[in-house]
Amino acid sequence: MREENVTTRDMFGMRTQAVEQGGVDSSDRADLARRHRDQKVAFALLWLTGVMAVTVLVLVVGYVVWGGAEAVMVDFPAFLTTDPRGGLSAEGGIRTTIITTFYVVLLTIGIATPLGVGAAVYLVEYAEEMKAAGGLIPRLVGVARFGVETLAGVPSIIFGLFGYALFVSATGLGFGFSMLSGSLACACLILPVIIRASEEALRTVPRSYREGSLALGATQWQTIYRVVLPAALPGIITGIILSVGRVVSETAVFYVTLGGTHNLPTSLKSGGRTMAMHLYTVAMETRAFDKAMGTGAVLVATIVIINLAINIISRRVTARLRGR
Amino acid sequence: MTVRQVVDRGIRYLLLISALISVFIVFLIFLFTIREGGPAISGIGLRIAMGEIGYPVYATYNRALIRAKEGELRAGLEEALMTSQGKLQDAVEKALASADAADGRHPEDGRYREDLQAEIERARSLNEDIERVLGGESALSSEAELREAVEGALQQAVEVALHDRTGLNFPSWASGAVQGAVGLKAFLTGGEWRPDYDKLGIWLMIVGSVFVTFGAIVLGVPLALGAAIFLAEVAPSTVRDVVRPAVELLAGIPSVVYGLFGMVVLVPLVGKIPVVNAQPTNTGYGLLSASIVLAVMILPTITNIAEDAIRAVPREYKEGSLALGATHWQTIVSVILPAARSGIIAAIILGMGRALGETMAMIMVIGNSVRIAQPLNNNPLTTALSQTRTLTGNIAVEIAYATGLQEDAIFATGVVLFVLIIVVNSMARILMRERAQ
Repeated sequence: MREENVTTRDMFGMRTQAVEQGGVDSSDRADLARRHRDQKVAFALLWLTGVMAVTVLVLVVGYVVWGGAEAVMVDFPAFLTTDPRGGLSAEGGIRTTIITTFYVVLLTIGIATPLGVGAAVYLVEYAEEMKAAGGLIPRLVGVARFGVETLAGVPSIIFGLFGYALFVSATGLGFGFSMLSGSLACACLILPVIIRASEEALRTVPRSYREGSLALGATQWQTIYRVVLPAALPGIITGIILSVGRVVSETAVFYVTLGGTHNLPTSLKSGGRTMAMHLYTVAMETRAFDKAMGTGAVLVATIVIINLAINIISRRVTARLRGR
Repeated sequence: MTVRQVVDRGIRYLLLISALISVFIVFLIFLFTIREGGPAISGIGLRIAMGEIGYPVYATYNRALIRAKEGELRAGLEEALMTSQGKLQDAVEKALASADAADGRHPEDGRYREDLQAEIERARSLNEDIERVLGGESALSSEAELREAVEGALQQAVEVALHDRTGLNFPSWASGAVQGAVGLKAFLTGGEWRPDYDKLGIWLMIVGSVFVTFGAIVLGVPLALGAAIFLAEVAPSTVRDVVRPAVELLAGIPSVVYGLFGMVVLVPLVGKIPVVNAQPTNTGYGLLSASIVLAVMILPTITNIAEDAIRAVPREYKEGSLALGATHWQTIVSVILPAARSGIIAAIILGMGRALGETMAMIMVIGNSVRIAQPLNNNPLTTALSQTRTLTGNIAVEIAYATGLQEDAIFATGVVLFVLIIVVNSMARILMRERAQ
């Protein structure tokens, strides 16, 4: 620690001599004034960048939301309740895309949640105690961790490519461009998100809960089901809502697996178009920017609502943790 | 064993299965992408080589056919023979060399090789047929009969060339191939992407991805780091309480929304930049617009992670420095930032990963034309206005209709992207782990 002090002091370019002498002469005062001036300039710049960063972001999102709100309001609520005309015309609203988004989210979450939460429970509750015992399973768990970590950073188009090859076009399994293919591919994308969030939530449950329950004679599963999971539930739900957000804003995966028809899907094996895809399609193919912005505004509103939900839940969790 | 214990054990295995499925999916993606794309890279070399032998043979016979129809049969045949024999020899050697190079790496290598040999044989025998006709060995009494025989032979040659035995359809079979194309190298460094002609080099997309990521980092990082330092150290808590959640929220906004902003606002704006003698003209779509959009997109990511890293610096460091008489700014520059260095670098690298992997917003503003980023006129700065394509865009735009060789190449593009991302993210993870210790 002492050595660090010396080096840092040197780094400041202060006059070590003066400190040793314990005196402060006029050149020190000038030095101090200079340093304060430097700080003022630097902080002014930091304020500027901070304000700029926020302004840029708010400007970008605000522009789309503002323009989009106009497009939505021109014909409210028809924009939300009529079907897109499809084809090269961008006429009509976005009803089918809202419903398709809802279906796809439901399906994707339905596929990924049991798997992800189950995997997290196993990793935290069972695998950890087996680490001491050694053997195959702990090693597998190590590999799984690595895999989940790696996968979390893989870009979505890779999942799309994978989903396309395995679910859309593969002979035998191929579901064609369909909600099923899209949801399966997207479930792989959000699986790491759910596993990580659930693992973290399970880890925050104090050991004493488990020990208390086990001491009362409950089996391990009873402990998990009755004690650990309820305590970890808010965290797990946060993870799930977070992945809902990911699915809603995901475009690349669905672009290559969902087909993109503007019609309402009639079965698991029929294709569709989510809101994000609709935005892309009308912007790129028909250049109907007002419709695209309207869709964008609805998308952003959805994301904001999802974030609010997460905030409310996490606030409740913190409050509960403090209460206990 | 009680019922309860049985249930307990059952559930334990159920959970193990779900964990294993999750792991399985993870590795399925690893393996599948590598399996589909990896061999495709080596296979590409082989198939291109086949294109190389097919084309000269087909082209010379075809030219002879045209001449024959024009009545200059003899001249046409002589020319065909001369060129085709030379080229045949060349092509055979090249094809065999690349077949050797690719041997064993592709499950279908054996089949390709057999096909290749068969085609070579067929071409040889056709050459001999023509030689016989020219040498007068064949018993052909009239000009008409000669023409008929040769046309028959040529027809056969064309059919051979067209025949889909090799899984290649007509235009790709008859294509000129990347010169000296052999597998991986040709794929990675090939400058042209023209699937109709089997020219499948992704160099221009690699360059596009790297340029656009670099641009985004240059534009976005100073702002993002400034904002992170501002939020962690300078901003009053009231400001921070508003800004932090806002930045977190913005990290979750769909990328197409940013892309749309780029299309509606940035592209027309960038398109106004005057460029004299531009070839092609400045459309506004291109690297600059794409870099700006990406910079905005990675801003929240980098700010969030970098701010966490700055906050994680122990209080004692800061207090010690302040107690020694350093100003707050000096403390930030000389103590806090160096201590948070690895975390900040990790944040930048993660931002890089996000930029490399971004797909839809890129397609919307980069123009997607299959051309390497290059200056529009003699001013090198105009490279920034060049339309190009990224690796991600290449996959998204073409996968839905790609077949055969092109599909293989798309998967191979995915592998290249995958490897790039894993390298980048591993770097970030190592740095983060360093910080944790």
